[in-house]
Amino acid sequence: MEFIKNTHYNFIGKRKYSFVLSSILVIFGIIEIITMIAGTARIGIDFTGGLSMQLAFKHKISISSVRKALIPAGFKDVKIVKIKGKNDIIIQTKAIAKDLNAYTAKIKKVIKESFKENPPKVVSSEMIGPSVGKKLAKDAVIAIIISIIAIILYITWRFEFRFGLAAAIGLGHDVLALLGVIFIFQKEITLLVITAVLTVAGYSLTDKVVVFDRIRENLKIETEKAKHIDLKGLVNISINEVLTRTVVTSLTVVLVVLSLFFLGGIVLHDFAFTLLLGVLIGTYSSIFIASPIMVILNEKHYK
Amino acid sequence: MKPVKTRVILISVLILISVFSIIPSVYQNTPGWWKAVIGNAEMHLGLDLQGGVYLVEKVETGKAVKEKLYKDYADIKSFVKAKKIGKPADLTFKNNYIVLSGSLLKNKSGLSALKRYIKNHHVSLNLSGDTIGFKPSALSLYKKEAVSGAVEVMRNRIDQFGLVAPKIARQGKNLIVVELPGVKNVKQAIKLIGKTARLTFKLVDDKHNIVKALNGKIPKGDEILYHVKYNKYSHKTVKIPYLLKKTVLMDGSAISSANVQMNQYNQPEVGVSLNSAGTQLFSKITTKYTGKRLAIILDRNVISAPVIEEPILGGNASISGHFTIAQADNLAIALRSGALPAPVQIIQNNTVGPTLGADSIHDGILAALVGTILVILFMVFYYKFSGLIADFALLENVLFLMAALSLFGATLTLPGIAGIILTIGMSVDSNVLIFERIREELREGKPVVIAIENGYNKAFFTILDSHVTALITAAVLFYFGSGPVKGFAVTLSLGILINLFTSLVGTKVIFDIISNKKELKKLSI
Repeated sequence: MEFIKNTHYNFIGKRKYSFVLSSILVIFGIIEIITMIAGTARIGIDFTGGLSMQLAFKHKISISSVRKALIPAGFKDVKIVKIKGKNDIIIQTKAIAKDLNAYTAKIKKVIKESFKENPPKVVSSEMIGPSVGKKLAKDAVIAIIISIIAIILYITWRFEFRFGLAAAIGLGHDVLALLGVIFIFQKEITLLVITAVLTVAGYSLTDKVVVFDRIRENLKIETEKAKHIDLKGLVNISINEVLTRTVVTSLTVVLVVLSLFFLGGIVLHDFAFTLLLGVLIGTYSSIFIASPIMVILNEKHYK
Repeated sequence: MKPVKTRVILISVLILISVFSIIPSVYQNTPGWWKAVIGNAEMHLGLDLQGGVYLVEKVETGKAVKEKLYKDYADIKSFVKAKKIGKPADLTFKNNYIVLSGSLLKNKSGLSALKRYIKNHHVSLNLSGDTIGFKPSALSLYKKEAVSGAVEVMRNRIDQFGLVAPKIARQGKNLIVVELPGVKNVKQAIKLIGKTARLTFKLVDDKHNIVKALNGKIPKGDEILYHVKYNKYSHKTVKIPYLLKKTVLMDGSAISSANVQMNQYNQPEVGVSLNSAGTQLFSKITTKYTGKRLAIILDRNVISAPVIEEPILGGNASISGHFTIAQADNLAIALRSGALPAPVQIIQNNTVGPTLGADSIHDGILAALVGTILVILFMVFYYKFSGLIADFALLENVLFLMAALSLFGATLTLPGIAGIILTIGMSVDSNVLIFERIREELREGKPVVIAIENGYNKAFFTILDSHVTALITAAVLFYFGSGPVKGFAVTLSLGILINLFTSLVGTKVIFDIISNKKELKKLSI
């Protein structure tokens, strides 16, 4: 069984289209980062600080009735989410109160008193002070920067600098484009989503390494081939040669991530969503972004 | 013929060891000797899976330092008074400093005497200009001590819960992270851990009128504290005020042990034994103040204020105060574990109920199973018999990963499960790479055995490089992540390392066995 056989796609030739598409995604990603810094993005309470509480009611419950109970008590900026197929709701609010402990206790009290006939049970509750979130955000940024530097160094050591640089640009592209998609879908940035982004960074790198490895090999041994064609052509041949592998490996990861997305439960939903898109973006960028950039870097080098 | 014996033995032994070490984590009634053989190593469920609480507490180190300075302030004041260098009023206590003023500042010889006294008796203090404050080195030391002291006290208290794998660790400058997976009564646990539990003994001021004091005329050197009482019949809390002398006669450091006992009316009370210094101090106090009322105060609540009937010399005392058994128990634990050196404040509190945890496990396992089956089927569909070999490596990968997690006594979290699922998806990557190489070789018309050899050889460095880069990001993730994310990074890293072995060695040996048995003309790939 083979999906793809002896392909001769001109991937590098399509770079104009891919660069336009990627630029759009990256711009959205930059917007997402700016809104994150400005504090207007949908950032999870693990970064802003705040409160999240999941309540399991005995009988059916509607969001509006919960909101109705909370508003007169002074809780206006609350997000209420209902969990499908259950009598559970999640109440979320960003850090606004100074004493979150007291704030949490007050919300619990109001809900318990308003729903005496339908008594809720606290399934989980999460309370995070604002200082914790700031430290976390700082750590996340540092982590991404450190990993990018470490990877440039490693690939430069194993390959060449232009490969390292191209891989790093590809990696930066993947992270930004993924954030762009998160912006488009208006997903919330939580600790798990950031974890997914970092995981995708690792995954997309392995993918780039495989493609680059083939390019390096062809540069070295295929002098016969290389005589007649330029670097562009050589990179195209290399990508085509590993195309099946790229597609198949992405497919197996997509299979498990899809099952995680559909069956993994609500906690992992956004995590799986980010992984899914990240794997697709990472695979796409190995072929359409990182490789052409390597070619461009090289052209500058020789001219 | 390729020698395969060593590799077959190695893999079989590894599989046996893995199964052996996983069983205690999965099957609860594993015999004790079995557990002992693997060093009682077991996988624990994280608190997001079995329910429990994750707390981050901030130690208010500033308050600990302030309290320390206040003690020194009292001592310096009495020195100034005794040596007649100045008036006690010349010394005022501001938050972080003692400020000198008035006649004391003009008294040159007195000042140098004070300077000498501070140098000899209060090494951590420094007098410069008109202020006395802590030296920077002493300040950071005290703050550090306050945090590490708080960690110790909390650890003692947590030990009382008898949990399987509680964690307590210091984080950053003044934070303490507490993880209590499986704790039953979350509310009570949080309360007990964070209780300052500073026990003090102060004298009740009988000479002055409490009503006047309540109206704002608090006599100098006095304070008002309350005894809070819950009336179980009227469901009301009553606050009874006490007018007390501010001076602390004795504190919790005098206590060597505390236990719950029943008094003659069958009411629970806390029996306290004092250490030798405490015994001496207590007999002195009770002798001097016989007939007066001695208030026992926990943090800022008056527990009781019994009359000292006679001098107590033996070093044993009891605290009674209309406790329930649970209250008496908590008080005894708090007294045994000692007081926190500074108050703490909860800045993060994640509580997960056991039902949510059970749901998460159920969903996670289901997703893992379905994902695994899909990948296995796909590989057979796409690579036929060779796909089956890769599937064998996949199962090996999962088995070894679980064994490694069990042997490390790792904590399995929900993101950790996600990490395992991801490992499943990625574990066939290396084999796909190899198989594609073999196919290329076959297309070029090479004989099967050589195609297999070349496939593995050519793919080796690609696989190595891609694994190392993935490991780098996993390591960074581990470094920056907290709690659940760390669990994810651990499973991911272990998965990557194990995969290197299973995909290279684990599958190659099967190809070799087959090609040893018969001459391979065709390969099902």
